[in-house]
Order: sequence, then C-alpha cells, then structure tokens
Amino acid sequence: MERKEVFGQIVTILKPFVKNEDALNGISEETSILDDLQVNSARLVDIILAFEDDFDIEVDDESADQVRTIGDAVELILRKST
Amino acid sequence: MLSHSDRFHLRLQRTIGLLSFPLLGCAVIVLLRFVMGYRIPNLHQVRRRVKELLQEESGPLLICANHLTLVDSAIIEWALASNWTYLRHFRLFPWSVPERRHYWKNVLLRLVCYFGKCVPVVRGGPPEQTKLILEKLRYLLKDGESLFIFPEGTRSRAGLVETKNHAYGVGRLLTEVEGVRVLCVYLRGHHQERFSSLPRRREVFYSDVELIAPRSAYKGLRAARDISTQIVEKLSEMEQKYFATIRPDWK
Repeated sequence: MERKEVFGQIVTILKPFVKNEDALNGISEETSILDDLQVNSARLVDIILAFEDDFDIEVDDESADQVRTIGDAVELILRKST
Repeated sequence: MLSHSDRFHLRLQRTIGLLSFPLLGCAVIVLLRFVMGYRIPNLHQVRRRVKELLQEESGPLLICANHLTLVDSAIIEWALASNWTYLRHFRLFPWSVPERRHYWKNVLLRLVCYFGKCVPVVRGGPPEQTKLILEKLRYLLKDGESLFIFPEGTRSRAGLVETKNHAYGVGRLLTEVEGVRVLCVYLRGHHQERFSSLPRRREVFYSDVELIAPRSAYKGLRAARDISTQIVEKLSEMEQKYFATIRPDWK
C-alpha cells in the first residue's frame, strides 16, 4: 500500500474524532493528533482499533502509545502491514 | 517495570499516609459531616454490604464509581468503611488518581492528596507519563493495595453515566493484573442534577455498591475497551436503578 493512500485513509478515520476542524485544511504528516486536531486522548484507542480493522493489522499497546502525529500512524501502519 | 525509586516512593507515601491518617481521616469526616452537612442515610447498610462482598473473595480491589463532583472520592471513601476500619486495614483505603491541575497549585491540597494516597495524573499527557502512571497503579494492585478510579475518565457532563464516550484506562489496567475484584459504586446527591465542583451544602446522598469481575474474550486494546465498557455499563445500570427507585420524577 502506498504511503499517500495510507495517509488519506488515516485522515478519513480521524475525521469523526477531530474537534479542531480548521486544522484539517493544512493537515500533514507532522500534524499532532492530540494537540493540532484536538482529538480527545481517550478516543485514541478507538482510532487505533479502527486502524486495526481498516488495515487488517494488529497493534500492541506499546506501539499504540507511540502514535502522536499522523506521520507516526502512517509509519506504524506501513510497518505492521509488511 | 517500575523502578526501585518509584516503588520506594510509593511505599514511603503509603507509610506517611498511614501515620497521618488518624488526623487527616477525622478532619475529612468533620469537613464532610459537620462543615458541609452531608449525610448518607444508608451509610451503615452500605458499609455492611461492602464488608460482606469483600469477605466473599480475596484479591486486589479496584473501586470504580460514577463521577459528578470533585469530592466524590472523599464521600465514597467515607461511605464504604469507617476510619477505624481503614486504619486497621490501611490497604483497603484506596489510592486515587486525581487530575493534577485540579489541586497542584494549592500546597495544602497537594499535601492532603499526598497523605491521602493520591497519584496525580495529567489527562491527555505525554504517553511516557501515562505509561508510568499505569505501571505505578499495576504495581499497587499487585501489591494488594486498593485503587479508586472513575472509569468515565472525567465528571459526567450531562449528569448521567457516560456510556458512549468514556475512557479505557481502567480496562488497560485490568487486562494486565490478574484476579482484580471491581467494586462498582454509584453515589449521587438528591439535588445533583449535572456535574459540579462540590455538592450543595447539607446534601443527602444515595449510595449503592456491587462487586463484579469483568472479563473479555478479546486481547490488548480491544479487551481494554470491552472491560471498560462493561464497568461503565454496570454503573449506568446502577444509575437507572437509582432513578427508578429514588427519583422516578427525574427528567
């Protein structure tokens, strides 16, 4: 799966959880999920589980804790899909 | 794995907590009962029930309650057992995990929270910090200490247990410690409509307890979500019982 494709799918997954919708306009791999998009930290688990379902991967707690930016999520998904 | 230093500090905090408990425990009761005028009419019944439930099984204890005000944990601790019981079985007096920003700037509150077995948390804080707190809590449970957590993760904004948008920290904790008993507690002042900082003066509280052992067929984060949801749904069920029996007129 292409990096760009993964990025697009991640943004689609994140959208329902985003509180700062303005931040979606300039979204990039450096965008922080908690600080920039203002996603509730409690919802991060739901997001990781959505990654598992959509990308057919398994994410352990340790790896889930490392996801802070969209780039981290892209890296995690690419790593787990191979 | 928790460092020796962290373990030492938790044990030290526990010892200091025990030494200060006769004074602090009395001060809290005086504050709740006589200054604020709070009452729990079924206090003895609740304490008897807790005693019965805890005698049935052994193992680490996690107390999970609904959350409407900033002093819920103090009122619930008062409801569950007498100070004398806590003093004799200090492991039963639970560790709490209050949000740091609610009390950190006030030195007196900081001291009270330290003596009262509190481990401060920062909601939405850095993952390393969250991980360390979870490790501390796991260590405490494995060491036979009781723990007090509000599984919703925050006060119920609408005044009702939040079953759809709750945190999963409690589930993450339970997936990694075996044999934990979960004591679900529902506490509500009769005049408490929504969340607030403090219950109103002379408030009368209803309290109910149930012991559950949540299990999940899933693993990892999915199990954490499943277990957290089971606990929150139990609290919601207890809430429905409260409204059906005590306040059928509530809208």
